[in-house]
Amino acid sequence: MSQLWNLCGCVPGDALFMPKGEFGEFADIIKHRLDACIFCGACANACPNDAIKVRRTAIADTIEKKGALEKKILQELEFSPTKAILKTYPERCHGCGNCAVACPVNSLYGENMTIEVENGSVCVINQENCRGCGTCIDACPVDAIELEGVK
Amino acid sequence: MIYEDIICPVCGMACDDIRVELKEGKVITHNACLMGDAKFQELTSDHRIIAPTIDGDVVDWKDAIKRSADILKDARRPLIYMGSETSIEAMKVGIDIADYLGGIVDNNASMCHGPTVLGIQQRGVPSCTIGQMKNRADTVVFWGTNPLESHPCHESKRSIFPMGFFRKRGRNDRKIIVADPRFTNTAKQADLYVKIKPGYDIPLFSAMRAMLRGHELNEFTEEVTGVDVETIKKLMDMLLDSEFIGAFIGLGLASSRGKDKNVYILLELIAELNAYTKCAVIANRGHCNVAGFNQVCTWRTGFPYAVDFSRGYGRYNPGEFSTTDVLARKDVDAMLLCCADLGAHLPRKSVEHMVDMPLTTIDVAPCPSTMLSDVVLPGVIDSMENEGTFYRLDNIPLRARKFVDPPFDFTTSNEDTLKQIFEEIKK
Repeated sequence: MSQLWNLCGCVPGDALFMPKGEFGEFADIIKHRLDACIFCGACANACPNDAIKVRRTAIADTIEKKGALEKKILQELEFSPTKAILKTYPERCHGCGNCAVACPVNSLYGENMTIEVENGSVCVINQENCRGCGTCIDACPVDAIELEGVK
Repeated sequence: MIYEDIICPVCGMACDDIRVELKEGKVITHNACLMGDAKFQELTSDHRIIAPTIDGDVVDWKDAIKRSADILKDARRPLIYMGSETSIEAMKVGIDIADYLGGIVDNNASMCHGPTVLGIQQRGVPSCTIGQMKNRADTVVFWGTNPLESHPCHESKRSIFPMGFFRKRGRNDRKIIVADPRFTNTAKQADLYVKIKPGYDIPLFSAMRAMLRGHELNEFTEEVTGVDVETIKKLMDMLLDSEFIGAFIGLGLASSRGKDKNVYILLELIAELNAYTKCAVIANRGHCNVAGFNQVCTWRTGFPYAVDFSRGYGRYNPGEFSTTDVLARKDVDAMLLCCADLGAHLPRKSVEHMVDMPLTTIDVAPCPSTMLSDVVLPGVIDSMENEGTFYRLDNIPLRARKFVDPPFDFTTSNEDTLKQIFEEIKK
């Protein structure tokens, strides 16, 4: 995989960030700040390429900071408009829901879902939330989802 | 009106997270697959059977019940077929009717995972709940099953993608192995796909057991099993490197050559694997409450399916007392068919006897079985129009809630209908 998806940048923590660009754009490099890491592991969970490992040995030292820091970060977190558009083909869909479960944005913001199964086939609920990572496309075994407009 | 956490009564998964929205006479489902949604749409379908019929003519409910009871009473050896899309409470009444009349009681299990049940009876099964599979399994094996087609929500909710307690990264924390003669949609997602020769599961399991015991496989292995030695070695390495193996087996084992022996040898292999790692196996039961029938029948009669009461006590012999065989041999002279469309699925010879003998059908929609029937009684959709207990494919009972009323008032559930027939028989 030659491109970086920047999904780790949208998890609750500003320890990982892109030097330039917005969410949904591909990045050349993702930088990290160890002092801001709360060791929640959300970035590793979100990464569809399995590129991040979180060492949990330092959790004990920083656990006290976690609550306050997490609150601060979540308040500051904002969505940016995406450049990717999800296109679905309901006639191909079996309604298995793999896309909805695999979508990292769905798992992070449970009630504000991006993609869902409605009436037995795939349905884009909130296009604004999509970061264009393509995880749903990888998860779909019947090619019922495509991404359009990804730069 | 929105109803949360409804149980889906279609496949063995019995998904318990369905959200149903009733709006302006339409049904909108969330989290239900294509098959599940089709069942929920039956609530408002225009072809729903809402009145009882005798020989195609609409009749009074009491007359239809009396005729159904007379058909069964006049028979020397009736067949009570309890389909799987109903609650275990209704199944219990069906078993009691067969016991009272000295007939045969059977279920979809005899033509589905019956051989798997036989294999389990011979060997015993190391099993667990499907929730434990989700939380613990780091290697998931699908052997002879294609859950994307048969249980569409299997992968997303239970086996491949969900975040588990010890598998927090979902798919990234799991290895998937698929063994199937065809490269199915499930196989597309596999880390290792094993293309097995149809009907040659036993030689492959035996080769795996030999490798596990340290024997070298020779050049004839590929010729016999259809799988090359390198792939078998890779498969065994993946299994032995696992912390917890979750194996799901399907009709590819139960319905191919070897049948119950396929399952028996697989269970032997799993017992040996458990010396090195942890391995549990679950049968991907296809019909909704087919596991429930096995539980209730075992509880009532001592046997899981295909039980004959003609001698006054229960006898169990699949192949002799199972539905397809007794119909083909014309061993029964009347039939009560509840919540299953055998007319569309049985072999021609069996269906021919269904045409010849008196038949009562309880169903929600017109189908080939209702066309063959002398009496048709409207069915109730259990888990939507009536509460009841359903067993998931891992034998866990789930209590389904009612959220709408049936479109008629002469019966409240399939259990109620069967009880009314039973009362009429006893008169």
